Amino acid sequence: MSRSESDSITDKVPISIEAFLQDVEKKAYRIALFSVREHAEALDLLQDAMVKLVTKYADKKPNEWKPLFYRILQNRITDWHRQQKVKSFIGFFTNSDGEDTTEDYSHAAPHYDELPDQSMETSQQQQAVMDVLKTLPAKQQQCFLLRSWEGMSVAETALAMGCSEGSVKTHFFRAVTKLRALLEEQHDVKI
Amino acid sequence: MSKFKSDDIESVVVERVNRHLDAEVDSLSSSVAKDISQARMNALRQARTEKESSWTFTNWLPSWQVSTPVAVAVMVAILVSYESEDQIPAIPSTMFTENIPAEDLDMLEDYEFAAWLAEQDIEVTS
Repeated sequence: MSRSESDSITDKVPISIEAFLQDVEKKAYRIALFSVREHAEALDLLQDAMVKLVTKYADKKPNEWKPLFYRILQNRITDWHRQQKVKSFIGFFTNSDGEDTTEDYSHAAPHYDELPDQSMETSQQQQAVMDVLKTLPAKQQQCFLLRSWEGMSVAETALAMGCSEGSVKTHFFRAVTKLRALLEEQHDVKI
Repeated sequence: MSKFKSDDIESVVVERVNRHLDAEVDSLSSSVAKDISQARMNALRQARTEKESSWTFTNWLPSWQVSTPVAVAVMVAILVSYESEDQIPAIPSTMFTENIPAEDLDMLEDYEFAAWLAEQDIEVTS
């Protein structure tokens, strides 16, 4: 792992809960967007998770905020997926006129400011990496993002995911292996 | 594959993906960034409102200061109102005064006297 355990949030304790939320909001939004693929839904989940953290856990130690926040966010994402399943199940019976119920994710991608100096190759590589990340199973994707991108320790990731440290290590190893293989095979990115 | 090489590959993959993820987040449009910070401010406002509305008198005191007197009061109430099932029930006094007639007691005394006389006669004759 390129980021050591010491880079974890435990060494960069935020001053206040507002500062903490400001620090994690963009990454948390992106992680939520990976799962729900809708800008508005991702924002709702982010806001719900923030409300719960501030209401219930603001008095906890600042170094516990990050795993707790991501635990709440992941629970919200899981609930959202359950609701979607129920909706699609009900929709299966109610839309008997053959109407196409496939969700349109064309607007799901986040919007970016145009960067004139951003080369076409870099942009394509970035898109390739995002596409590969999306193909990972949910647990592996979640584990990789929390562990490597958010720089959380194994213990913190385990707390955030609600699983054992052994499972975190397994998910992370499989995610890295799959990412490497996919990047090399599908996108000709040499590692 | 050696451990060193495996760790090397892992760091390269992680570094590469992180770089792209960071770049993606940095290039989020200003409208999306504004929406995100608005969501944070809404969350803080909502949390503050929820905290204020859930205020009660007991929030003033530590929980043990409330729960200990309540627990003691409950225990005293139980001990005072407790009645043992092993207690011997008192014999109702009406049983002696109402159910046994006075002439029956006189008759019993007569029987006892007759029995005593018969015993005396037996002793004398023997």
